[in-house]
Amino acid sequence: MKEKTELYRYVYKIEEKEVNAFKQAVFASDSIQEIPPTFATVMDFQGGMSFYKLTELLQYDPACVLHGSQSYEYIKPVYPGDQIEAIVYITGKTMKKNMTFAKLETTYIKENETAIISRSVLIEQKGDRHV
Amino acid sequence: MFNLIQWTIKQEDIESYAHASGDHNPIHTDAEYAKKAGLPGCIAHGMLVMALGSRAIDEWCAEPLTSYDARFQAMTYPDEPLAIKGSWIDEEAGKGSVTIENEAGEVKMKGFFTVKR
Repeated sequence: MKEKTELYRYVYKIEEKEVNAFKQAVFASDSIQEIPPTFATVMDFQGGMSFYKLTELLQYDPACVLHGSQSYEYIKPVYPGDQIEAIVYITGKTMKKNMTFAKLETTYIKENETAIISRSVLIEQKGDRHV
Repeated sequence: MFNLIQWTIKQEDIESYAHASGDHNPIHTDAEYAKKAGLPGCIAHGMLVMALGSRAIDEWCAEPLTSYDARFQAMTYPDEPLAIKGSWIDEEAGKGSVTIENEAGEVKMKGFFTVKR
């Protein structure tokens, strides 16, 4: 599968208390006004794309999932209080030996403009070692 | 080279991250589940390791990130001493690298970043 297909979309209002809890959990500086660089993962999990929802959509065994890579492009600053619409796409799914690789791309839109783009590779590894 | 940062992720840090992020994959917080999945015990979230990398970049550069790219190369266990290393690739362009490895030199995460210039 190579074409870009929409998998899921959601709207998420960024609450200050969630940003503060996340900053504390990742030992981030409290002086920065913007959301921390990896906060988009919170939007996914809290916005409806839970780990189990994602594995179900990808038809992955949740006990065999490995996060291969993750990248972010930061286009517009995002702050607590902002409302974000996120669109999750699957951009490719390939199999190699006992592993399946799914490429995901998520666009986070703020006020009708793309603010962040996330790209990740999730691997389902069947065999003697699961992550 | 930026200054070396040493860090150890505790099991309670992993639990706190699971709670704050909403990533409740039990492989991170339930040792029995992790063992059934073929692991010696709980492992840290790759995204927690990536967040430690961005924390280090903030300490080194204090400029807003325009991109951040990470590859997770090995699992990170609680109580494993980690070294966070970084350097400029092209300082003028704001391009740098960040690597997180254990004491044995096993690379957990290899990352690249760009900051605003």
